Amino acid sequence: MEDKDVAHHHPNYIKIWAILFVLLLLGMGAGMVGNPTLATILVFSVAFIKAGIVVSNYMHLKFEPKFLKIFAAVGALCILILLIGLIPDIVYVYGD
Amino acid sequence: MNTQTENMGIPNGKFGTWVFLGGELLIFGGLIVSYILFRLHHPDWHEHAAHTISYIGLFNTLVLLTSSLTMVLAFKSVDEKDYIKASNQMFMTIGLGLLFLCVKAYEYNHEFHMGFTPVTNLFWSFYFLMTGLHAFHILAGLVVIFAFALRVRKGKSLASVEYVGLYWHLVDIIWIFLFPLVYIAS
Repeated sequence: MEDKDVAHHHPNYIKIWAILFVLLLLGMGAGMVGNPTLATILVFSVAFIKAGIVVSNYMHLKFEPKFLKIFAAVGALCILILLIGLIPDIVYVYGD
Repeated sequence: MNTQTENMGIPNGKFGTWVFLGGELLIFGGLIVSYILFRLHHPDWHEHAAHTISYIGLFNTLVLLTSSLTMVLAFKSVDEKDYIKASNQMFMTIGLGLLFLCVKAYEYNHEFHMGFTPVTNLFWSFYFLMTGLHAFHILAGLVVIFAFALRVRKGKSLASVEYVGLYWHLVDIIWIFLFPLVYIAS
């Protein structure tokens, strides 16, 4: 094993927590919007923004090499493929 | 301080952790995607979801977000070579994780008393499976953080703080999606 110092970037984590807290309250507020479709879109948009902030800053993905960003993006893409792949089974078979 | 060899521009331990997290993402992703598709086909599920307690979910979300903060601050403290502070911040993370589990246990107890169990209907099956599996991941994370917090206090296993932190943040992200799915979207 090789010992060496690696410099890490450390953004203002407390400020990021405060932003996440505000987004959490916004997400709750969005859930109370009268239009259910609009409420769903807003709630999940806030959730995606929060997840993006955590991945970028707390998991430091924005400071990582490009290949790791691509690796993470492929993981997210797999979820999308899974969603599309499950539509026929769930909606057209078990859904009825 | 990092003590891992590198073959891909980042420490092997970090890359291994990301690969592990990719697997975790697919486990929860499969469950969440199935839940979303079932729910779109069963609009009546919002009536079941209305029985979940939103303010408890909100509180637990705040607890997990804060635990992510203490965990990442521990990583920063390791970089600053303040290992006692890092260890203490990891113990704070453990405390917050335990608080999350206690609140979840209270919530489960309330739901069981209301007559909602994993076999009540498909909504509650999904609810208990997703939140239960998440709680199990929290518990596993707490055990690992505890083990490493003791070593970090002695200046050992320093790179592990970042790796276990990555896992902990993923658990936080999963909850970020579970919260609106089972609580707010009612």
